Amino acid sequence: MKKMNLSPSNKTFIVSFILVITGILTGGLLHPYFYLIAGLGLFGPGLLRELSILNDQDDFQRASSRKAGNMAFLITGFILLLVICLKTAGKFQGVGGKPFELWSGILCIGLGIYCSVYLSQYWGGKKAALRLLVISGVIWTVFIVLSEWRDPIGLLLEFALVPFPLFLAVLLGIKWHRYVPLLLIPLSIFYLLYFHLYSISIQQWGKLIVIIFLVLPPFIAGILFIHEGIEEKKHNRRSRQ
Amino acid sequence: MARKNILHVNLRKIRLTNDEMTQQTLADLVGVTRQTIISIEKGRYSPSIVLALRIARVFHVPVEAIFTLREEGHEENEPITKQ
Repeated sequence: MKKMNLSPSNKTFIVSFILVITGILTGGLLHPYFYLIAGLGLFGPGLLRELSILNDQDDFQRASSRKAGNMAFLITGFILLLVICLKTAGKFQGVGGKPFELWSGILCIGLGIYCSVYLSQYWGGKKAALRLLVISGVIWTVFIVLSEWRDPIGLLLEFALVPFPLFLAVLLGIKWHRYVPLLLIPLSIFYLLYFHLYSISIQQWGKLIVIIFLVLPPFIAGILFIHEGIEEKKHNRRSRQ
Repeated sequence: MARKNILHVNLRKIRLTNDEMTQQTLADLVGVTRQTIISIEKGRYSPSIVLALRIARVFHVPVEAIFTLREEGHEENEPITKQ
Protein backbone atom coordinates (compact mmCIF):
# COMPACT_ATOMS: atom_id res chain seq x y z
CA MET A 1 0.00 0.00 0.00
CA LYS A 2 1.26 3.47 -0.89
CA LYS A 3 2.35 5.41 2.18
CA MET A 4 0.45 8.67 2.61
CA ASN A 5 2.92 11.53 2.34
CA LEU A 6 1.59 14.53 4.21
CA SER A 7 3.32 17.88 3.90
CA PRO A 8 4.29 19.58 7.21
CA SER A 9 1.58 22.23 6.70
CA ASN A 10 -1.05 19.52 6.20
CA LYS A 11 0.04 17.84 9.44
CA THR A 12 -0.38 21.18 11.24
CA PHE A 13 -3.80 21.59 9.63
CA ILE A 14 -4.94 18.18 10.93
CA VAL A 15 -3.75 18.98 14.47
CA SER A 16 -5.47 22.40 14.29
CA PHE A 17 -8.69 20.84 13.00
CA ILE A 18 -8.73 18.31 15.87
CA LEU A 19 -8.13 21.12 18.39
CA VAL A 20 -10.95 23.23 16.89
CA ILE A 21 -13.47 20.36 16.96
CA THR A 22 -12.40 19.36 20.50
CA GLY A 23 -12.64 22.99 21.65
CA ILE A 24 -16.10 23.52 20.16
CA LEU A 25 -17.46 20.26 21.60
CA THR A 26 -15.96 20.62 25.07
CA GLY A 27 -16.73 24.36 25.13
CA GLY A 28 -20.37 23.69 24.33
CA LEU A 29 -20.80 20.63 26.53
CA LEU A 30 -18.53 21.16 29.54
CA HIS A 31 -17.45 24.75 30.15
CA PRO A 32 -17.06 27.85 27.93
CA TYR A 33 -13.37 28.09 28.90
CA PHE A 34 -12.76 25.06 26.72
CA TYR A 35 -13.44 27.25 23.66
CA LEU A 36 -9.85 28.40 24.22
CA ILE A 37 -8.75 25.01 22.87
CA ALA A 38 -10.45 25.93 19.57
CA GLY A 39 -8.65 29.29 19.76
CA LEU A 40 -5.34 27.46 20.06
CA GLY A 41 -6.17 25.46 16.95
CA LEU A 42 -7.30 28.51 14.97
CA PHE A 43 -4.65 31.04 15.89
CA GLY A 44 -1.85 29.05 17.55
CA PRO A 45 -0.09 27.82 14.39
CA GLY A 46 -0.12 31.31 12.81
CA LEU A 47 1.35 32.86 15.96
CA LEU A 48 4.02 30.17 16.22
CA ARG A 49 4.90 30.73 12.54
CA GLU A 50 5.27 34.47 13.01
CA LEU A 51 7.48 33.84 16.05
CA SER A 52 9.61 31.50 13.86
CA ILE A 53 8.93 28.60 16.22
CA LEU A 54 6.92 26.62 13.68
CA ASN A 55 8.43 26.28 10.22
CA ASP A 56 5.93 24.18 8.27
CA GLN A 57 5.12 26.47 5.34
CA ASP A 58 7.05 27.30 2.21
CA ASP A 59 7.52 30.84 0.83
CA PHE A 60 4.32 30.79 -1.20
CA GLN A 61 2.15 29.47 1.62
CA ARG A 62 3.60 32.08 3.99
CA ALA A 63 2.94 34.89 1.49
CA SER A 64 -0.63 33.62 0.96
CA SER A 65 -1.26 33.43 4.73
CA ARG A 66 0.05 36.94 5.27
CA LYS A 67 -2.08 38.42 2.51
CA ALA A 68 -5.14 36.55 3.78
CA GLY A 69 -4.44 37.67 7.36
CA ASN A 70 -4.09 41.27 6.28
CA MET A 71 -7.34 41.21 4.29
CA ALA A 72 -9.19 39.52 7.17
CA PHE A 73 -7.84 42.11 9.61
CA LEU A 74 -8.85 45.05 7.41
CA ILE A 75 -12.37 43.87 6.57
CA THR A 76 -13.19 42.48 10.02
CA GLY A 77 -11.76 45.61 11.61
CA PHE A 78 -14.05 47.72 9.46
CA ILE A 79 -17.10 45.59 10.33
CA LEU A 80 -16.19 45.69 14.01
CA LEU A 81 -15.90 49.46 13.89
CA LEU A 82 -19.31 49.63 12.20
CA VAL A 83 -20.84 47.51 14.98
CA ILE A 84 -19.19 49.71 17.64
CA CYS A 85 -20.58 52.84 15.89
CA LEU A 86 -24.08 51.36 15.70
CA LYS A 87 -23.94 50.22 19.30
CA THR A 88 -22.68 53.60 20.48
CA ALA A 89 -25.39 55.34 18.48
CA GLY A 90 -27.93 53.18 20.27
CA LYS A 91 -29.10 51.17 17.27
CA PHE A 92 -28.22 47.85 18.86
CA GLN A 93 -29.11 48.40 22.49
CA GLY A 94 -29.69 44.78 23.22
CA VAL A 95 -26.57 43.36 21.63
CA GLY A 96 -24.83 43.11 24.99
CA GLY A 97 -27.44 40.57 26.08
CA LYS A 98 -26.39 38.09 23.41
CA PRO A 99 -22.68 38.66 22.99
CA PHE A 100 -21.89 35.11 21.94
CA GLU A 101 -23.73 35.28 18.59
CA LEU A 102 -22.47 38.76 17.78
CA TRP A 103 -18.79 38.30 18.51
CA SER A 104 -18.63 34.73 17.23
CA GLY A 105 -20.40 35.97 14.07
CA ILE A 106 -17.73 38.63 13.56
CA LEU A 107 -15.05 36.05 14.28
CA CYS A 108 -16.63 33.77 11.64
CA ILE A 109 -16.60 36.61 9.10
CA GLY A 110 -12.89 37.17 9.78
CA LEU A 111 -12.12 33.49 9.46
CA GLY A 112 -14.27 33.21 6.31
CA ILE A 113 -12.38 36.09 4.68
CA TYR A 114 -9.05 34.60 5.73
CA CYS A 115 -9.92 31.19 4.26
CA SER A 116 -11.34 32.63 1.00
CA VAL A 117 -8.32 34.87 0.36
CA TYR A 118 -5.84 32.17 1.34
CA LEU A 119 -7.47 29.61 -0.94
CA SER A 120 -7.78 32.04 -3.85
CA GLN A 121 -4.07 32.82 -3.47
CA TYR A 122 -3.15 29.18 -3.13
CA TRP A 123 -5.37 27.54 -5.75
CA GLY A 124 -6.22 30.52 -7.92
CA GLY A 125 -9.58 32.31 -7.95
CA LYS A 126 -11.45 29.86 -10.19
CA LYS A 127 -10.48 26.69 -8.37
CA ALA A 128 -11.10 28.29 -4.96
CA ALA A 129 -14.54 29.55 -6.06
CA LEU A 130 -15.54 26.15 -7.44
CA ARG A 131 -14.43 24.37 -4.28
CA LEU A 132 -16.19 26.91 -2.05
CA LEU A 133 -19.43 26.35 -3.99
CA VAL A 134 -19.10 22.56 -3.86
CA ILE A 135 -18.41 22.60 -0.09
CA SER A 136 -21.33 24.94 0.70
CA GLY A 137 -23.58 22.95 -1.68
CA VAL A 138 -22.70 19.71 0.11
CA ILE A 139 -23.19 21.28 3.57
CA TRP A 140 -26.67 22.55 2.58
CA THR A 141 -27.59 19.23 0.97
CA VAL A 142 -26.67 17.35 4.17
CA PHE A 143 -28.57 19.90 6.27
CA ILE A 144 -31.69 19.66 4.06
CA VAL A 145 -31.62 15.86 3.92
CA LEU A 146 -31.29 15.65 7.71
CA SER A 147 -34.08 18.14 8.36
CA GLU A 148 -36.54 17.17 5.60
CA TRP A 149 -35.99 13.46 5.06
CA ARG A 150 -39.57 12.63 6.14
CA ASP A 151 -41.08 14.98 3.54
CA PRO A 152 -39.80 14.24 -0.01
CA ILE A 153 -41.64 17.21 -1.61
CA GLY A 154 -40.26 19.65 0.94
CA LEU A 155 -36.85 18.10 0.49
CA LEU A 156 -36.98 18.60 -3.30
CA LEU A 157 -38.23 22.17 -2.98
CA GLU A 158 -35.54 23.12 -0.51
CA PHE A 159 -32.91 21.38 -2.59
CA ALA A 160 -34.05 23.37 -5.65
CA LEU A 161 -33.88 26.60 -3.67
CA VAL A 162 -30.43 26.34 -2.09
CA PRO A 163 -27.94 23.63 -3.08
CA PHE A 164 -29.12 23.24 -6.69
CA PRO A 165 -28.19 26.79 -7.84
CA LEU A 166 -24.79 26.34 -6.16
CA PHE A 167 -24.14 23.08 -7.99
CA LEU A 168 -25.43 24.63 -11.23
CA ALA A 169 -22.96 27.50 -10.76
CA VAL A 170 -20.19 24.91 -10.34
CA LEU A 171 -21.11 23.24 -13.64
CA LEU A 172 -21.34 26.57 -15.45
CA GLY A 173 -18.25 27.96 -13.75
CA ILE A 174 -16.03 25.19 -15.12
CA LYS A 175 -16.50 26.53 -18.66
CA TRP A 176 -17.94 30.02 -18.37
CA HIS A 177 -16.39 31.35 -15.19
CA ARG A 178 -16.44 34.94 -16.47
CA TYR A 179 -20.23 34.93 -16.73
CA VAL A 180 -21.13 32.95 -13.59
CA PRO A 181 -20.89 36.04 -11.31
CA LEU A 182 -24.01 37.22 -13.18
CA LEU A 183 -25.79 34.26 -11.56
CA LEU A 184 -23.98 34.16 -8.22
CA ILE A 185 -24.14 37.76 -7.06
CA PRO A 186 -27.89 38.14 -7.82
CA LEU A 187 -28.37 34.75 -6.13
CA SER A 188 -26.78 35.99 -2.91
CA ILE A 189 -28.95 39.13 -3.05
CA PHE A 190 -32.01 36.93 -3.68
CA TYR A 191 -31.21 34.83 -0.57
CA LEU A 192 -30.75 38.00 1.46
CA LEU A 193 -34.17 39.31 0.40
CA TYR A 194 -36.09 36.03 0.20
CA PHE A 195 -35.11 34.87 3.68
CA HIS A 196 -35.42 38.44 5.11
CA LEU A 197 -31.83 38.32 6.26
CA TYR A 198 -31.29 42.03 5.74
CA SER A 199 -33.06 43.05 8.94
CA ILE A 200 -30.91 41.67 11.71
CA SER A 201 -32.20 42.55 15.13
CA ILE A 202 -31.07 41.49 18.55
CA GLN A 203 -33.35 38.49 18.76
CA GLN A 204 -32.15 37.21 15.40
CA TRP A 205 -28.37 37.02 15.58
CA GLY A 206 -28.74 33.44 14.42
CA LYS A 207 -29.46 35.05 11.06
CA LEU A 208 -25.85 36.16 10.93
CA ILE A 209 -24.80 32.53 10.89
CA VAL A 210 -27.27 31.87 8.02
CA ILE A 211 -25.83 34.85 6.15
CA ILE A 212 -22.34 33.44 6.61
CA PHE A 213 -23.28 30.04 5.25
CA LEU A 214 -25.96 31.00 2.71
CA VAL A 215 -25.36 34.51 1.36
CA LEU A 216 -21.59 34.79 1.62
CA PRO A 217 -20.48 31.65 -0.31
CA PRO A 218 -22.16 32.63 -3.65
CA PHE A 219 -21.14 36.25 -3.12
CA ILE A 220 -17.49 35.41 -2.35
CA ALA A 221 -17.41 32.86 -5.22
CA GLY A 222 -18.76 35.55 -7.57
CA ILE A 223 -16.04 37.99 -6.46
CA LEU A 224 -13.39 35.28 -6.87
CA PHE A 225 -14.59 34.53 -10.41
CA ILE A 226 -14.52 38.26 -11.28
CA HIS A 227 -10.99 38.52 -9.81
CA GLU A 228 -9.92 35.48 -11.82
CA GLY A 229 -11.33 37.04 -15.00
CA ILE A 230 -9.34 40.26 -14.40
CA GLU A 231 -6.16 38.29 -13.66
CA GLU A 232 -6.69 36.22 -16.80
CA LYS A 233 -7.04 39.35 -18.91
CA LYS A 234 -3.83 40.75 -17.43
CA HIS A 235 -2.05 37.45 -18.04
CA ASN A 236 -3.24 37.30 -21.66
CA ARG A 237 -2.08 40.86 -22.24
CA ARG A 238 1.36 40.03 -20.84
CA SER A 239 1.58 36.86 -22.96
CA ARG A 240 0.84 38.83 -26.12
CA GLN A 241 3.72 41.25 -25.40
CA MET B 1 4.15 57.23 -13.31
CA ALA B 2 6.66 54.35 -13.35
CA ARG B 3 5.99 51.55 -15.77
CA LYS B 4 5.05 48.16 -14.43
CA ASN B 5 7.68 45.44 -14.28
CA ILE B 6 6.57 42.00 -15.36
CA LEU B 7 8.29 38.82 -14.27
CA HIS B 8 8.50 36.46 -17.22
CA VAL B 9 8.80 32.84 -16.09
CA ASN B 10 10.41 30.22 -18.27
CA LEU B 11 10.26 27.45 -15.69
CA ARG B 12 7.83 25.09 -17.41
CA LYS B 13 9.88 25.03 -20.61
CA ILE B 14 13.14 24.37 -18.74
CA ARG B 15 11.51 21.71 -16.58
CA LEU B 16 10.15 19.86 -19.59
CA THR B 17 13.46 20.00 -21.45
CA ASN B 18 15.10 18.40 -18.41
CA ASP B 19 13.80 14.84 -18.90
CA GLU B 20 10.23 16.12 -18.51
CA MET B 21 10.75 16.64 -14.80
CA THR B 22 7.43 16.64 -12.98
CA GLN B 23 6.25 19.54 -10.85
CA GLN B 24 6.25 17.23 -7.83
CA THR B 25 9.89 16.20 -8.39
CA LEU B 26 10.98 19.81 -8.69
CA ALA B 27 8.92 20.72 -5.63
CA ASP B 28 10.62 17.96 -3.62
CA LEU B 29 14.07 19.03 -4.82
CA VAL B 30 13.62 22.65 -3.78
CA GLY B 31 11.59 21.88 -0.65
CA VAL B 32 8.23 23.46 -1.50
CA THR B 33 4.74 22.17 -2.30
CA ARG B 34 3.66 21.29 -5.84
CA GLN B 35 1.11 24.09 -5.67
CA THR B 36 3.97 26.58 -5.25
CA ILE B 37 5.59 25.35 -8.47
CA ILE B 38 2.22 25.57 -10.27
CA SER B 39 1.73 29.15 -9.05
CA ILE B 40 5.24 30.19 -10.11
CA GLU B 41 4.75 28.65 -13.57
CA LYS B 42 1.40 30.38 -14.00
CA GLY B 43 2.95 33.70 -12.96
CA ARG B 44 0.62 34.02 -9.97
CA TYR B 45 3.50 34.08 -7.50
CA SER B 46 6.92 35.72 -7.74
CA PRO B 47 9.32 33.55 -5.74
CA SER B 48 11.79 34.88 -3.20
CA ILE B 49 15.42 35.30 -4.29
CA VAL B 50 16.39 32.24 -2.26
CA LEU B 51 13.77 30.05 -3.91
CA ALA B 52 14.65 31.38 -7.38
CA LEU B 53 18.31 30.52 -6.76
CA ARG B 54 17.40 27.06 -5.47
CA ILE B 55 15.32 26.38 -8.60
CA ALA B 56 18.14 27.61 -10.85
CA ARG B 57 20.60 25.35 -9.03
CA VAL B 58 18.46 22.29 -9.75
CA PHE B 59 18.77 22.91 -13.50
CA HIS B 60 22.39 24.19 -13.37
CA VAL B 61 21.42 27.42 -15.11
CA PRO B 62 21.63 31.07 -14.10
CA VAL B 63 18.48 32.56 -12.53
CA GLU B 64 18.04 34.79 -15.60
CA ALA B 65 17.48 31.71 -17.74
CA ILE B 66 14.32 31.01 -15.75
CA PHE B 67 13.16 34.43 -14.55
CA THR B 68 13.48 37.59 -16.58
CA LEU B 69 12.22 41.02 -15.72
CA ARG B 70 10.43 42.93 -18.44
CA GLU B 71 8.99 46.35 -18.47
CA GLU B 72 5.52 46.72 -19.93
CA GLY B 73 5.96 47.45 -23.64
CA HIS B 74 9.73 46.73 -23.62
CA GLU B 75 11.66 43.84 -25.14
CA GLU B 76 13.20 41.15 -22.93
CA ASN B 77 16.86 42.27 -22.95
CA GLU B 78 16.24 45.99 -23.14
CA PRO B 79 17.65 47.71 -20.03
CA ILE B 80 15.08 48.99 -17.56
CA THR B 81 15.49 52.73 -17.18
CA LYS B 82 14.22 55.15 -14.57
CA GLN B 83 11.10 56.90 -15.83
